[in-house]
Order: sequence, then structure tokens, then C-alpha cells
Amino acid sequence: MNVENTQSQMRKGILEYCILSILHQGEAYPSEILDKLRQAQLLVVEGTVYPLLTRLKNLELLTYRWEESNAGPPRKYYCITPKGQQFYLALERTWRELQQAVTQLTKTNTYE
Amino acid sequence: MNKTISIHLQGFPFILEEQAYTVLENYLNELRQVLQYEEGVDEIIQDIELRIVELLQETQKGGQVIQLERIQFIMSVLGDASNFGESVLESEAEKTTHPETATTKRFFRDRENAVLGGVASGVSAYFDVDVVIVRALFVLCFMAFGSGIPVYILFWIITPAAKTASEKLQMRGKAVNVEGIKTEVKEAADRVQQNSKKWAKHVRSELNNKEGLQRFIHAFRRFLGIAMLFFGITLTLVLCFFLFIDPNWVPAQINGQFTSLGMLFSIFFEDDGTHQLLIYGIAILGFAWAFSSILAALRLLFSFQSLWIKWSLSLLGFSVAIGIVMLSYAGVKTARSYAYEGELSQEVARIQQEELQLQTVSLHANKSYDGFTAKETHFERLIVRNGRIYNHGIEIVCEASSDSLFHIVLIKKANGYGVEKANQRASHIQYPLKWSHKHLELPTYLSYPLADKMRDQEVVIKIRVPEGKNVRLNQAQIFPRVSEVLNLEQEEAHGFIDSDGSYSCWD
Repeated sequence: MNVENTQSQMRKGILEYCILSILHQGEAYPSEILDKLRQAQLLVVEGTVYPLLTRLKNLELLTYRWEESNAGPPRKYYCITPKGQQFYLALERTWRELQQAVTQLTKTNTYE
Repeated sequence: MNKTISIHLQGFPFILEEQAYTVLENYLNELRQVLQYEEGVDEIIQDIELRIVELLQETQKGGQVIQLERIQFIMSVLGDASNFGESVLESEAEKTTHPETATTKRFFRDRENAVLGGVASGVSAYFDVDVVIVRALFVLCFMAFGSGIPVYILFWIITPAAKTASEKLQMRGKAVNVEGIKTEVKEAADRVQQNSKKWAKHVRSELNNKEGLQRFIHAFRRFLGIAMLFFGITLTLVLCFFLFIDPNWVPAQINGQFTSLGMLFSIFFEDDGTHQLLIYGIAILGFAWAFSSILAALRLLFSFQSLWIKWSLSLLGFSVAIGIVMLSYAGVKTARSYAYEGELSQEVARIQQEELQLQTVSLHANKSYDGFTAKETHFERLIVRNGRIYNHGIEIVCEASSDSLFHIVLIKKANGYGVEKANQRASHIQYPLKWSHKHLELPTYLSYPLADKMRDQEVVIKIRVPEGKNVRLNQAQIFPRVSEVLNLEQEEAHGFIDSDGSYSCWD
């Protein structure tokens, strides 16, 4: 088991939560989502996002609408559904708990 | 110098270098392969294609050709196909039973090395055997009651062709596991469904000649068409030959005797049109056969279908009916002319002798005998000359006489439609037997007019023999005849004289 693999696994594990988080702030089309993820340095390759978006859409956590674009191809604007909101809130709570736990643990580690 | 290919991606036109195109196509195919278990593959692919359009448009300036480097860059941004698959496997932990497709060996048709559909080359790739051996096995199966044909066609339909690089690798892959076989079976079932729809469409439209079976059917149709065309033309020529040349030139055979077809017809069939009816009936049937064969061939070869073909076919059907009626009429008419038997009996001589000497007179003896002249060397059994038929087979019957004289009775027999007609024919028979110098001269032929036709004309010479006296034919005693088995004298003797004057006993 190499480091890169573990890192990529960690990133992927929270990708779902991050995407929902982005869309919680407002609707967005895939390229926007990708940009934000890239800025946060959470993204290794774009390819992983697309199946995830479709899967979330199929679970009815997301929905989308088409919008024509002057610059290029039509854009698929994703937005979060009420069911997605609940899902997101549940994930957020878990994340806060995890964050706290992890921070606490890692702090202890650094002081030792 | 590089070839370029123009494509449409989600409705947006791009011009790609050939290499770039191949790489992109393979990439998309691989994505499809990896994502095949994911719900909504088409949607994901669509999203990805839209993203590719975006990325291409970022750098492309009007009509610029997209190069391999650009595609490779985009692929690096989107990530390797395996990344897509991993996210699926990871997020659906309970469904991780999907085989690692890259190492599973799967059965594909190898179109690149195909003769027909590539089944044999696919099998050879799968089992790593030389393709020649596989082909030979298939051919053997074809010959063994054609059992290989349905098997081959089945494989052809249910097996996908290896199209992408990854499929081609899988075709030759090493590992085989149960999961692989399971998915194979599942996919085969889906494919049968898909393909059967596709085939139905193909067969209906007859447009797509690219598919192998279509090609095979096409070749077979062509072969059949050419064969039928050849047959039709040959038959037509043969019929024309027989119809328009003199039938007397056409060889035929009767009683082991070579004669001509025209002669044969004139011997058997009445001159009142029956003869012609028969010939034309045969000709009509033959031509109908030939033309329908040619028409069918044209339809097979050029697959055109027009109204006049339908008309011609119905016309041919009509001709066949007419031909059959003509033949039946001629046949029935001829058969009926054998219906009744006529017999004329006349005692031609009474002879008082110690012994009756019979002497055959053969035509080959070159004697002019009441108009009998014939070839010198051949003992022909049937001769037609000067409007008369000369036939062999004179029957001789010896039986006991009630007085002391030899009675010679000449019986002439013939058949006809009606007793009167039969008797008339019998009376036309000539058999000029003659008494000269202590013996009775018997010609080896009877004769009758050709116009009477051959209607079982016969001549029987009945000889009543006084008790204790002998009958000799050409010096040999024919009556009384001592039976070799019973050592008893028989009361009657039957025999006939052949065309060469020899006597055969019937008993």
C-alpha cells in the first residue's frame, strides 16, 4: 500500500460531501464544481466527478437543468434537492464530529 | 503528412489528426467499458463528452486541427479510465464482485483476421491455437451434416466483435474466472436480444452488406442465381435445338434398336395432330421451366422486383397448365387407341405330307419378297420403309389336328379404339407366307402401314398337326416336342421366329 493510493482514497471519500457542499451554496455546472475542487486542491483527475454526479442525481439528491451557453456547449446546472439538503446536513454533522476528533487526535500527537 | 478526420462531439464539429482520433475513440470506448455496470452510463459519457468539448474549445481556434498532444492532455485532466471504475467500485462496496476486466479473458470475434465473421479467429485467440486448425475443425463440422453452420451463426450473433484496444487485449487475456464467464453469459443474452432486432432490421431492409452473414447470403444468392441462369439458358438452347431441327436427326432407341426421335413419334402417335400436340406440349413445359429459372435467377442476381416479373410468372404458370393439358390429351388419346383387340383368323392351307417343312425367309437374304428389301447384314427388328412398318416376332403355335391333314391357320391381331378399328388394322397386316417345293416359306417380318401406327400388330401361325407327324423348321424338329423334364410329349408347342430366322420356344 503506497502513500499516493491512500491519499487518493481519502480525497475520494470526502468528495461526495464536498460536492454537496458546493451545491448547497447554489447551483453550478460541472466545470464550476471542478474549478472549485481544483482550487481546494481536492481534485486529482476530473473523471471521478462525473460518475459521482450522475449517481447522486439517480439517488435524487441532486437535480439538474440545461442552459444554453454562448461560450460553448450547453451547460448542465446541478442543484440540490430537499432530500439532498437533509443528506448534506447529516454528512456535515458527521464531518464536524470527525474533524473535531481528528484535530484533537492529531494535536495530541504533535504535543507529544 | 497526416490524415485528418472530422467528427461531431455532442453536436460540435472538430477536425482531428487521425492518431488523435484513434486515441480519443479508444479512450471513450474504454470509459464505456469500465462504466458499463454503472447506472446511466450514457449520461456520464455525455457529461464527459461535453467536458471534452469545453476543453477543446478553450484552446482551439477556428478550424484548427487537433493534435495528439491535445487529446493526451485532456485525457490526463480527466484521468485514466481506471479512475472512473475505481470510484464505482469503492462507492458500491457491496457490489465489488465485478471482475477486473483488464485481466479477464473474454471471447470476442476477431474482425481483423476474419474470413467470414471472425468467429474462428476469435476462438483461436481465446484458446491460443493456430487459426488454421480452428478453421479446419469448423469446415469439418460444416461437412458433417452441416452441423457447424448453425453453431457458427449462433456464435456470430451472440459474440461481439473486439472493437477497442482493451477488448482486443481481453480477447487474448490470460486469466479466466467464473465471474468472467458469468458476465459473458449475461452479456450474451443481452446481445442476442439486441442483435436479433438488428438482424431483423437488416433482413428487412437488405441494405447493410457489411455484416458477414449478409455477405454470405449475398454470395450464396449470387452463386444460385448464376447456376439457375446457366441452367435456364442451356435448357432454352437445347429445346430450340430439338424443336427446330428435324426430329428425324435426333437419335432414339426402341427394342435395343437405334432409330430417330421423329421415327419413334411417327410409329406411336397418330398423324392427326397428336404427334404435334405432344411435341409442343413438351416444348411449352420445357420453355416454361427454362424461363422461370432465368427469371428467378435475375431476381436473385439483381434483386429487382417489378410488375412484369409477376405477370411473366403467372403467364408461365398458365403455360405449364396448357402444356400439361396437351400432354395428357395426347397421352390419353394414344392409350385409348390400344383399348380393343381385333383378330382375323383364316385357314390359308391344308397340306397332306408325312412331315411339314417350314423355311424362314429373311430379308437379309436379299430376296425381293413382295416388296421386302432390306439391308443385307443387319437383322433389324423394326424397319420403317416406304410408308410401312416391318416388325419381327412371328408366333408359331402347333397343336393336334383332328384329321390327317396339316391345317395352316393365319391369325392377324391388332389393337384399336373400337373393335372395328382394331379389325381394320388387323386386315392391313401383310404376311405373305408361301408354299413352294414341299416346304412352307415363312417371312421373318410382318408388315403394316405406318399410318396404322404400332398398335400391338401380331401374326400367329397356327399349325394343326395330325397325330404321329412332325413339324420341322429350318430342318430342326419343333413338334412334337419332347419335354426334357417330364419325358412326355406335349400337346402344344409355342415359339416365335426372330428377325434373323431363328426359332425360340416359349415353353
